Amino acid sequence: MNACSLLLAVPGQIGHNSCRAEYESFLEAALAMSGEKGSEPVWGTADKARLEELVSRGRAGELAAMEAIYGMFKGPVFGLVYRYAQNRAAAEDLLQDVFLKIFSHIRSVRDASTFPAWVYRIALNTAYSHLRQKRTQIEKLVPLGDVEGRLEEPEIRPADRDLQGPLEEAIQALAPRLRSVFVLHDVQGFKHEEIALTLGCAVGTSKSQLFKARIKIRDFLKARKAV
Amino acid sequence: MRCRKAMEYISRSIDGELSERETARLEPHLAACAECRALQSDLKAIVGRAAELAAPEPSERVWLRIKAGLTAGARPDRQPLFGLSLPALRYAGAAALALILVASGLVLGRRLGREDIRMGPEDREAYTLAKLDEAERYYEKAIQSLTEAFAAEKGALAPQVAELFERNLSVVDATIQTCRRAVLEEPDDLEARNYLLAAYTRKLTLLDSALDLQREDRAAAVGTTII
Repeated sequence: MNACSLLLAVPGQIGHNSCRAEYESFLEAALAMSGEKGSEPVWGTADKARLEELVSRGRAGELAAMEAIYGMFKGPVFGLVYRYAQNRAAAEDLLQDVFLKIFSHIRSVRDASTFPAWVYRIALNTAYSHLRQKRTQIEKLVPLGDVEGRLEEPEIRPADRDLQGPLEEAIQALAPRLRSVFVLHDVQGFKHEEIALTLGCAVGTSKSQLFKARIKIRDFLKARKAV
Repeated sequence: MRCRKAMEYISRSIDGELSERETARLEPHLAACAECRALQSDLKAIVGRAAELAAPEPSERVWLRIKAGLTAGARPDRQPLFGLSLPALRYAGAAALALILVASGLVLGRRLGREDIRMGPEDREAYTLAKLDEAERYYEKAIQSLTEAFAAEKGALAPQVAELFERNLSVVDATIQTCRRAVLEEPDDLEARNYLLAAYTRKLTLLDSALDLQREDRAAAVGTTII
């Protein structure tokens, strides 16, 4: 098991006291191992020198640096968590959670080249945790929204105009892991190497999951005569 | 070449990942197989549309909430500030205070447990229990404020929704009563305390959802969108 797959096992709620120490040790191990490998940073889109400087200042607790980091990552991270949240308000809550986790643990980041993968990993853990919580709530309580006929409405409600259309519905219907790979690769344009680093899997796994995701999306769209 | 293999090749060819040799193997299959040609056409369309999907931007208040969380050293309330009535704002303040007290009580309790400083074990436990008592009071206050906020506009909900809400609420109230009895029987039982606080959290979530529904219905009635 490598450090990245260790991170996969970390519960999403890293703010939880009982998980914090465990999470931080996982994180340190992951970052140390990434550094030891001496691998070149693969996040071609990030301005590496600028990011390194911002992470360093962020580690020192400088708020302006954190704001700049937020500005750099908010768009793609929001686009990612939005596809797990069903509506804008919940997506913004998730985004807030993600960045609070990032900034409360930024001191653990020793190598800025691993920072983007770490950011997306936290985003995905937070999104998966949100899905788990949502599932638990649905199991335990009768959702109030159901009785207003909301089940008959499309999953994406009119208030969430951002993510409308059959392709977005098809993405929402994917299993979380396939959804992550599809959104990161086909929607946001990441490379398989970057996705593999983020998800803690092999590059081949990322490719095969993308293939499965595309086939499922095609089946979904064909069933609705949308392709 | 079989169709299954051809499908994988088609997906990879869209990303420009096929070698010349692989392309030379795929082409005769495509020439002979209408289904795989259709798949190629569909996947190209899907990938093209995915790249053009909207990139939603979070609202500016997310950073303000993150900044508030960072400067206060605690997470800000999840609710957007705008559009909240006075009772809801009071609830937000009380809930945030309750969360801070719970967190600080638990963190302090655990820290005192780890660090062997002046307090003895009994003092530490008494301190944690006192903090939990304090947290419980603030939870009760938060629930009271939120109940008042909900009651002020209870008529806004459809009768069947209100009925379902009451049913859910009675389940949560019964849980709170059971937990409270357990705490009264064993005041030193931290696990029972945690269950009680979790039940309070459940009630806050339920009231929060009901308030959301009220807000959505109100906004729908005046033709505005909720963000």
